[in-house]
Parts: sequence; C-alpha cells; structure tokens
Amino acid sequence: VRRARRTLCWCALAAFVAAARVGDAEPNGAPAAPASGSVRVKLAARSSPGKPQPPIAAAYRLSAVPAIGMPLRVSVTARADASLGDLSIEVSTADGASVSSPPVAVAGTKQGEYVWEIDVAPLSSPAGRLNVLVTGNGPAGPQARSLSVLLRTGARAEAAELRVAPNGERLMALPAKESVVERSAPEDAR
Amino acid sequence: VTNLTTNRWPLLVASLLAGCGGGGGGGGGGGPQPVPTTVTVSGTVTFDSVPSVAGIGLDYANTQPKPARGVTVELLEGANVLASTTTDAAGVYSFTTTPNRAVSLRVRAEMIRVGAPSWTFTVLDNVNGDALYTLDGAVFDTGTADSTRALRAESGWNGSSYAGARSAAPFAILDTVYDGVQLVLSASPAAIFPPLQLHWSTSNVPSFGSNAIPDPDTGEIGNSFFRPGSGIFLLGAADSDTDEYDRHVIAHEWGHYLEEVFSRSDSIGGPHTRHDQLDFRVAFGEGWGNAFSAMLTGQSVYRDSFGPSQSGSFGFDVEGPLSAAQGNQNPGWYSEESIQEIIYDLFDSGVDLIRNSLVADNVALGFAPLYTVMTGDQRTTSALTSVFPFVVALRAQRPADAPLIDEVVNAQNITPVADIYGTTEAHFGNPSSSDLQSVYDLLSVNDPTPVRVCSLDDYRSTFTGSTNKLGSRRFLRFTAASAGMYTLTARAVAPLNAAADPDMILRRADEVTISNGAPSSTCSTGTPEECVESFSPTLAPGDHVLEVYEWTNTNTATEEYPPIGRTCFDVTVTQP
Repeated sequence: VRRARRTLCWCALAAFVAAARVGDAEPNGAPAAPASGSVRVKLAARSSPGKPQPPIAAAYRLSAVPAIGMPLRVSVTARADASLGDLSIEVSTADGASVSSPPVAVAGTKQGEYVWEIDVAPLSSPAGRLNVLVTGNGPAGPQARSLSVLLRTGARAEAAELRVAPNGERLMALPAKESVVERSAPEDAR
Repeated sequence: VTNLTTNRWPLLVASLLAGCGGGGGGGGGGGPQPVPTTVTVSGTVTFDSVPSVAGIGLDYANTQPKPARGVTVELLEGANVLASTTTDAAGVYSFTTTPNRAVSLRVRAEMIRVGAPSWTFTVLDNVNGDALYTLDGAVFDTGTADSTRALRAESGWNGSSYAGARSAAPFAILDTVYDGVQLVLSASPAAIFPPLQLHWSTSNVPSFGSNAIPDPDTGEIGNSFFRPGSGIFLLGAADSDTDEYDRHVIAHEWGHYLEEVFSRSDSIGGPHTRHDQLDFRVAFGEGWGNAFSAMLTGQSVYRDSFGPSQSGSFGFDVEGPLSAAQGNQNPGWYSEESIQEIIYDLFDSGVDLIRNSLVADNVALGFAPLYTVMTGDQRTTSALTSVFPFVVALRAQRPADAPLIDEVVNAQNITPVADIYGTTEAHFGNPSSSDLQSVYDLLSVNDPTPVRVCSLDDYRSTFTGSTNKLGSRRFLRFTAASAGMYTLTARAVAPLNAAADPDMILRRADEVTISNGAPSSTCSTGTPEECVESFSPTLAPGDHVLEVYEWTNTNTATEEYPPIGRTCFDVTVTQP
C-alpha cells in the first residue's frame, strides 16, 4: 500500500517503467522470456499508449544472433481485425542486408495468426535492417503495419557528428546548406 | 576594403579607386575607408518541410523551405559562443559583432523562452546520449561589411532515398511544437510550459528492444509515444516509419504532454485502436490527443506516413468516418473515436452531421473554453478524467451553449450527462452485459452490505489485447466523512473460472494508492472467499474513487497469466 502525490508515484514507480507495456500486442524479435512460475509481475504504472495505429499487430523473431555473412531466419507473426481479410507481407532491406528468398507463409499456431519466414543474411554493414510491411484490405481500403527487423552486428555510421562543447554539452551536429545572400557596408563605414 | 565579395560594391569601389588614383585597401569618400566598429551578421534559418498527404504519404515533390521559428542561433568563434539569439516568426536572426573575425553559425534544435510565457523544448538524439541536434554552418570572416547568411536544413532526400544527413528533421519537429505553443498562448498568453525533451533518431525503429519494451538507447522504441518524465519519442526509420514530418503524430503526442502538465490524465495507457471499447480514461486521453492534433494542424484528417519511401499513409478523420464503411461501430463514452469527434466538433467552426446522424455540429467554441476546462475542473475533478467531468465543466462555463454541447455529446451514444460520475449513463458496451450497468458504483462507509462488481474480459481486442478495455476495471466511489484510517476490501465470490487475484487502486484526484498483492495459497475456485485484497490507507475527508479489477483481466491472452474472464467481487469500505 502506497500513498503519494501522483508525481511522486511516478517516481516511485520508475522501476516499473522498464516494464511499460507499450507493446502488449507487439512482442519483438527476442526469444520469449522464460516462464516465471508463480511470480506475478504487476505493472502499476501506466504504459505509454503510443501513436494511433491501424488494427494490425506484428512481431518478429530471429533464429540466431545476427552476424555478418551468416544466414538466419526471420519469423514474422501478424494478427489483425478480421475485417481486414487475408494479410500479405512485403519486405525490403536497408543498410546492408540480403534477402535470399521471398517470404514463405507458414501455418500459425493460433487462430487468426499469420506467420511468414524470411531467410536473410547481414552483409558488410554493421547495421543491417529488414523492413517489413504487413498489409490487410478492409472495407475502408488497405491498411498496413510497418516493422523493422534489426540485423545489427555493430554500431551504425552516423550521418551527423557528435561533438562535445566546452561546457560538456553533447551536440549532434547536422550540416547546413549555407548561402551568402547579400553583403553590404555597415552604416558607419558608408 | 578587403572583403569585397559583394554584389553591390564592386562598381562603386572601382570608380572610387579610379578617382583617387589607387589607394589599395582604401575605401570611398575620398580617403581611407574606416574599419567599422561593428558589423551585422543576419539572415534566415529554414528547413525543408515535406508535406504528409493522406493516401500518398510524404510528398517530397512538394518540399518547401519553411522558417525555423523561435529557435536558438549562436554565433561561434571556434567552440566559444560569442552571442546567442532567437529566430523570429519568419526565421530571421541577427547579430552585431566585431569585424574581421572568423566565426560560424550554429542553430540549436531548441525553443527557449524565459519570463511569462516561458518554455524549453529540445530535440535530442536518444541513441547518442541525448545529444542536442544542431545545424552547423561553415566558418566565415565577418569582414568589414554587414552580411546576410541563410542557413537551410535539408531533408536529405535525393529523389529516391535519404542520401544525405536529415538535417531538417529536428526543426520540422519543433515547427509543430511552435504551432502548439501558439495555440495554447491563444488561450493562456502567459502560460509557463514545463520543459519537454523530444527524442528523435534515424535509428528509432518500430521494433522493441530485447525486453520487448522501448529501448531509447538503441532506438528500438517500437512506436512514437509520450512518457511522463521522459518526454516524446519519435520514429525516424527510413523506408519503415518516420514521423518527423507527420505533424498529426507529433501533435498527438504533444497533446499528451499538454494533458499531463497542464491538466490531468488518469489514463492507464496501453495498446488501442480506433474501434476498441476502452477503459474510459484511455478513451478520453487518446481522443483528446487525436482531437488536439487536428486543432493544432488545422486539418481534421489525421495522417501518418510509413513504408518504403514513406509512400504509405495511415489516417482517419476526427470529424467522423471517411466513408460509411469506416463508421464507428461502438460509439460511446468508452470510444476514443467518439471522444475525438466530440472534442473536435466542440472546437471547430465547421458544421457537419455527427457520425452520419441527423444531428448537426452547430457549436464552435474554439480552443480557449476547452483549454480552460482541461486546466481547471478536469484537473481537479474528484472523478476520473473522462468525458463526464469534461462535459459538466464545459456546460457550466458556457451555459448558453449547453444545449448544443449536449447535442454533440448525445449523438455519440452517450446519455445526457448528469454529473461528473456519469450517474445516469445508460449505454454500456457492445454487446451489452448485465454485469456492466454503471460507470461507478456507489459505496457507503460501514455499510454491512457489500457492493458487488464484476471484472470482465468481454471487450478484449484480437490485436490490442485486454489490458485497457471496457469492463476489466470497475470503479466505485465513496465519501470519507472524516480523516482517518479506512479499510477497503475486495473479496471474490463464486463462481470463479480460476483462482481470482483481486487488486485495487484508490484515487483522490491526483493522489494514487495501489494495493496489488498476489493471491494467497488458500485461494482457489472452491474457496473464493480466500481470494481477497484488502488495505487500510489513511484518508483525507472527501470523495474517493476505488478501482477494482481481476488482475489477469488486465493481461493479454499470450501472457503467462491470461485473463480468466468474468470475476465478481464483494467490495466494502469500513472505518473503525
């Protein structure tokens, strides 16, 4: 039993933030957590709702830890509102990854569940990514859910430059397109 | 004059030099040109604004430069800041500095104002230690002439992909924030905005970290979201989901920030989608966010780009369905779709038929009355934050508009609102349940007859689960006549589908007390009386709301402890 001002409550519940369930419907590609027996982890803090999404949930699992040049299998699981009908999948790669075969649909373990398997291989880039788009077609037209499968094997090269100011402030420097529009004499020089 | 790279001076200088017979380095006026004591460096800061268009996603072909408004510009010498200023509404900055100095310009992705009003909004890179984004210009010599220098933050799009740095993104994000600030200032000119960090990175992907939770350090944030105390996180994954140009998305999350800091939100969050029948606090919070995004952008059609080349678009019209096929199947006080339409209809000046009904939206209150309610009665209400206290307060503030307000509300399948607790409400979900026939049940202190409420799993969604749906949490209210210790008890009653795990949360406005112990070993389907939750807080006098629920009915079907369905509890409150 606790009693506190709400702000204090959030602070006290900081530990729960780590368990905020933004993705109840969206487990990621990590292996499922082992069963925790009778221990009931109760989440008292609210989770972040996130932006509005179409009625499609998608998740992925990897067969192995990504390593450059080593093929692995990505399993994508999706569920959707029944009104969206059959779901389809599109995949594309980013930052250096190779899809060696098109997605193969396999039977889901639960009713209404769609599962596809995709064989991929991270290439030279340390930050490969497989972009997945799961699409359904409902009475209101097509709706889709995007998912990024990380095939990360190292740090990603940054387009911006991290700098540290004299006061210790960290700055992410982005380039500007700069142009001199006009140059004229100051008043006291005319 | 040594730095004559000007457009206007060469002819003049040439003629002056000829007239004076030379005089290298000299100026005009018949003698050596004096070196000015100061020169001005001024110009504009702009960013590439890419429209997000319903149906086609980001429309790069119509990218336009827009002024970076209200952002900090620094004049640097090396790494040292010589001067700092803020761009105006046209993105204009100006510095007066000394001549012949090697300097550079740096634009910080921040909006800061002190005094009243005041604010601090910053855009940070969450995968690089929350470093502040900056737009950096090249080193130049101030010379002896005033100069005008334009800095442009480019999108990085080369016609088919992001080939360069996406410098515009942090400033596009701030642009939406700027408009939000202006909207708030229109209702509260001296508003003091608590600081807010907005986090964005090209590494922010729509996938979760290894613990199936958002991981800002790696960018695996799963979704764009607002988290109290941490700020707003926005996706930036090219060809998957980026949100820097999705103004509705940013505005929705900023609306959550606004609700959190200026109003009050009792929302429990969790996954949701438009047609869900939600916990009414979630419905109100999300409906507010969607309506606010339309108010801020001036566009009722919410749009969110995604997919390859950002060419996909998810959207809906907060005014109502884009087509009959998209109609709200479950309107009501538990529908975010209903709430967003109510709030926006109360705000906007357009007249439309509400959710395809014959009721016209004839009310146009603008933002100020809604803001006044949100920051006033909605913040302090003893009820939970929902449409009920909102409507009660709005009617009290605008009595002349009360009939029109009621029309807008009632058209959403909501019974005329009698009080902040929705006491007369008569609509309770689709399909209806005999176990859910009240918004709040009334509890009396020391009443020997317990109040029976049932926690349900009837309104779960196949894709957003049970966590935050209608009926899983039940609400009771009571009045503590005097200060002191009270004992609150929820005891399961037969029949049970499984051993019950009752939990309770006590709320008094923004004070929260939680009692969520695990069930005892003696609790079973055959011994429901052993499945009990009880706690004894010290209460202040006044109205309190008690939330009672079967814990598993707030889980998803895939969790270790999935919902056990209908579970009823006898609830009492006693004072020794």
